[in-house]
Amino acid sequence: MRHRICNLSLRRTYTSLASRKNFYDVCVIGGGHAGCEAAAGAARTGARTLLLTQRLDTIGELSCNPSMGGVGKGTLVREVDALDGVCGKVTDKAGIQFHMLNRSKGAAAWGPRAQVDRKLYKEHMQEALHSQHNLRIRAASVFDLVLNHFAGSDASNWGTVEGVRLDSGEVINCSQVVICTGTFLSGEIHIGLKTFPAGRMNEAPSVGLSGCLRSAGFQLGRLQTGTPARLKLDSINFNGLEEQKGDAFPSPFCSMHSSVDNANRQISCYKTNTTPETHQIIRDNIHLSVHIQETKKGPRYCPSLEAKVRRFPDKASHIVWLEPEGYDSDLIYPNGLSCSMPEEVQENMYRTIPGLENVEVVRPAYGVEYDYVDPRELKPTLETKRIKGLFLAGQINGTTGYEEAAAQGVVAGINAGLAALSRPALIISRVDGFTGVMIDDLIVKGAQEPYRMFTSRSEYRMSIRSDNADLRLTELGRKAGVVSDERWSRFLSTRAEIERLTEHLKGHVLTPHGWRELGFDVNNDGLPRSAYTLLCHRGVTVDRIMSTIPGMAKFDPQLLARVQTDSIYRFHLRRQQADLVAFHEDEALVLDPQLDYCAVDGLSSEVKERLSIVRPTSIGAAKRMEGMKPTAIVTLLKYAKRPLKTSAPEMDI
Amino acid sequence: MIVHRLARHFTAFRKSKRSFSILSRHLDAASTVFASAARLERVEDPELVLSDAQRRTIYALSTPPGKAGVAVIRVSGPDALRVWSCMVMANSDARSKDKARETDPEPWKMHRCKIIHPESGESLDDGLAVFFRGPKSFTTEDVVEMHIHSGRAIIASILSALSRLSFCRPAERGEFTRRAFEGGRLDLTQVEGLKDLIDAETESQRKAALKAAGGTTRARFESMRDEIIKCLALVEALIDFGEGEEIEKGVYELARKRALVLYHTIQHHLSDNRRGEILRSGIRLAIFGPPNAGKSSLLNFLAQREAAIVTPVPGTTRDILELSLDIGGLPVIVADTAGLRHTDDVVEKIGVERARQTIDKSDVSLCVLSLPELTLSGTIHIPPAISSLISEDTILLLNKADLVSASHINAISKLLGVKHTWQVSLTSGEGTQAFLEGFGRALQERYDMLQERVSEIEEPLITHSRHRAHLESASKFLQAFLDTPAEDVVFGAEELRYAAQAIGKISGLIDVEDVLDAVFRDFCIGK
Repeated sequence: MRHRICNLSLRRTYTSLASRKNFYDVCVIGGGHAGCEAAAGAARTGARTLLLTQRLDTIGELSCNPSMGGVGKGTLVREVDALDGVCGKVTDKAGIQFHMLNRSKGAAAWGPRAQVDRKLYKEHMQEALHSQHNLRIRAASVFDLVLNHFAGSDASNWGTVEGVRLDSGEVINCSQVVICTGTFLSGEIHIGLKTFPAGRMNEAPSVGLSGCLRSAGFQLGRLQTGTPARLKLDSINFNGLEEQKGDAFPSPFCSMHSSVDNANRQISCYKTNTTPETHQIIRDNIHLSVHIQETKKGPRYCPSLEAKVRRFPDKASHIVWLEPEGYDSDLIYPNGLSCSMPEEVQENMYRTIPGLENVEVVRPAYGVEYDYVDPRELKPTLETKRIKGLFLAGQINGTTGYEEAAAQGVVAGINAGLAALSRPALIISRVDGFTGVMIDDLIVKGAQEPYRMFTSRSEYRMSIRSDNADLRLTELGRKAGVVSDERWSRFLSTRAEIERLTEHLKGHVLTPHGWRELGFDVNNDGLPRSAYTLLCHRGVTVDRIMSTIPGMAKFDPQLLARVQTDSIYRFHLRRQQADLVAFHEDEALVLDPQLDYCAVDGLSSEVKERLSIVRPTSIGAAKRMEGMKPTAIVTLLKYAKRPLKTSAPEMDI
Repeated sequence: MIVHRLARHFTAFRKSKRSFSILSRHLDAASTVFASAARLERVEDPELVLSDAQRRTIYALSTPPGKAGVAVIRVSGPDALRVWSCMVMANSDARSKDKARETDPEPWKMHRCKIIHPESGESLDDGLAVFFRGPKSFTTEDVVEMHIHSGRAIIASILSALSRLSFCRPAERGEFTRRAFEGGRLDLTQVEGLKDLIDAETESQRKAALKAAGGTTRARFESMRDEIIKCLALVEALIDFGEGEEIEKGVYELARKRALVLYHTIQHHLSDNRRGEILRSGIRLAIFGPPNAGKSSLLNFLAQREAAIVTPVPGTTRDILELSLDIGGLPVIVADTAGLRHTDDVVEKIGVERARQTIDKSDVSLCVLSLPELTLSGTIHIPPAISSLISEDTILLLNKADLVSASHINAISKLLGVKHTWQVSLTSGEGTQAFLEGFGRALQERYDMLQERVSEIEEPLITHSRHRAHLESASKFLQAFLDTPAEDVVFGAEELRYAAQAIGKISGLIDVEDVLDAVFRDFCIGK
């Protein structure tokens, strides 16, 4: 039935294109993290953009945990921000507790994280979108896509987007569509053994789009995730629980901000844990949970309580963080209690946890199952190879997490806008940021389980850090035309200031004796050192340098901290640079995505099949594919093109 | 677009790095002075282990390993000339050594030369070498080719010598072709034509070899792989989940403990009494003894047995440099046979020293003694200079048995505390057959031949030298990890990642998914 409707709409478009009213460049479907960034990003390119969402009041909803950032994830937020995206700015305004994870482990491990007031987040997000130039927002449910199918063409070139069709039958014409439907694509909620169609609790799923994608030949799979119960704040006894406070000096996500709105009124989280009694209740009722049937793949790193108890039977307790949902919210989010046990079991189970002896459950935990598209269908711009003008971002690509969604959203949205305006694409590579690592992993390797960002996924952790997202990406964004003048000028001055400061420190050279006189414990080796060198010595703090080196008053201590990181990492960066050069050499050998691999001699049929699915865009991407052998790569060299002979990079390694 | 971006990246990097290079040169100097100083000052120890990508100069045997008379080892990359100056001693150099070294070799011309070991200076082969100055070379880079005798032992020893040069590394499969392609040197048909050459050492061969190696060797590589993954998992868990999650204390220490065990395993494998290498390159046998005991007779006896001669390598005009023998199915190389004649006078102090050096460099030593001389005075007398060179493992050959009446084997071997003694007459041939058989068995026992290792000599030569180079590289990175304090966990993870890359090249690629699997298997992470 679904298929027929989709085909019907295809046929109709041939006649309906005549009218140019109701025409946009880009339509973004969905107002979650991916959708918000995609809409704002497309609009920043100058494309006329329409954001379509079922309900206006759910734009910017945090469907699960009330927090943003973390290790790896916080870097993604900073990267979105470096492209002038919205989530970093909004988090700085809506954050109610800021904490830098891994602070003691060095800049490459830092993970900025914030607890967020849900209401404030939505408010500020909606405000940001409403004030975005070129962006219209409309409450409507999209039923399917209006596509123009090229008869007789192959899978890599199936057709183009011409618009979207709403539930009402109304057609909105556009040349680009970004689908950011999260868990709504044929979404289904599980509580205990109960199952019912829904994208989020009490919100209808999107069914028509799934059918439409399927009929265009996309491979859809099912993934699942879950969200814990919401507990009533008043019913919890926090006495005796370990309190976790925010950092005294919060580190903002947005490089335009020097501090955050609620720096001086941060609120605390509390730590508790499950008990053997909790685990016993789970064991007694495990047959009543759909999760445990494990027919669908859930994230390993976001396991349900059932999964934890089953997989680690020896552990007598697991950590639970009680996180506030906002200043005037009476809800607590129990981070670590995700499950899909029956409602009636849940409350008893929670009451075995210290502090929750009398807890009242406002909304039970549930699991959700949804369709996703094999991300190997995508190009590095997040446009599908199959359908020109169709972009996908967020959970639909098999990822999990707000930050992962936002980072895809910004890339998909910007590229949709650029494509509509016939401008060159913005491609973020693995060396540019975690965003590039994530996209490359997705499009080259696919997603067998919900994909989450970890710093270990990147080979270039020395240079891809949360503290330098602006230096890595803002210039790229500016060239794509999506970075505002204000941010650009601020960026330029920051960059120039860092250079000046570095020169200043390098110019200040003293003998060990000189440094010792200033109170620095320097090896008495007779070798003069610059202040820049000294910065990487253990125990040398920004404050001490600020107060002892002449001429420092004119510099910002926060920039000195960045220069210190450069100094500490410089040797490792030098080694990593050789890897970067090798990476670029491989990426510069471009493969045609339309290449007919069946006709390539000397490849095994297995390799041909893999190549036909992934259609790598470079020799580098082909190398990263699973099951590729060195001889296959040599064979592919014949088909690689170098758009322009670049002069060999100078290596100082 | 990509090209454009490339340029952007490089300029950005050059900008930020150029200024570092001057500084770091200064620091490198400092580091040598304070390498052992307390680790309070991170900067004083900036000499990180070079990664594969930094070692741009690559080498490989570029002729099929087999029966051909001549083998070519090709070296390509920015440091090709350094390789030349470390390992090629052109015959013209020999006359005016210092002067010749100052200037580059004349390019595109075959030079008659000795290939020498870069550390010991020992001559590995007599051959030809040619230098191609880039871009007029196969890869468009500087290329050095060594044309050598195609004996297993020679090829193995030269590859092994190359692996001692820290600035170069074995080429990846297809890497020469890739560089040639990069340099625009190859049109497409040539790439096709070269494929066969590259296929000489393919992944399937590597796997087949690993399979053939069977039992222990394979299990050992797989356990190394598992171990490095576990180490990485511990450290990565600490970075990605070190806060607010259920990661126990002491995880970094645990990673270090495991890495240390792995490091020792690799070291053991590398040293391994040089067994693996010995089987490829031959057991180096030193023959020593007092003058006229019969060393030359032994040599002639061994060399004249037709079946025993594998590759008698002709020297320039003077001597046999190296004699390869087949004893009990094992390749045995009598090294420095020319020198042997000069060490005759072992009673002299210089002679003793020389003999000791030869023995130290060898895997097995064989002492030839003349029975009539030992028993001259009625009692058994062994010159102290000789007995000082004899250890428990020395093979003792009592010669000239035809000139004495009784057997002295038991008495003498007891006196000297050696395990293997034979009594022969090299002139009459008495006892020689028993000696050869017994000697072969002794070697087999020593090198485990009768058990698992038979298959190992079947392994492709290059695979083996590659394994060795990768393991050496892995152990350097592991050492660097072990030197990294817990607070620098991110730097530690870098070293481990490079170590894992090196091990992955032997045991199969180690992917981040392998590491994540281990993380989630071992830790209950996630909320």
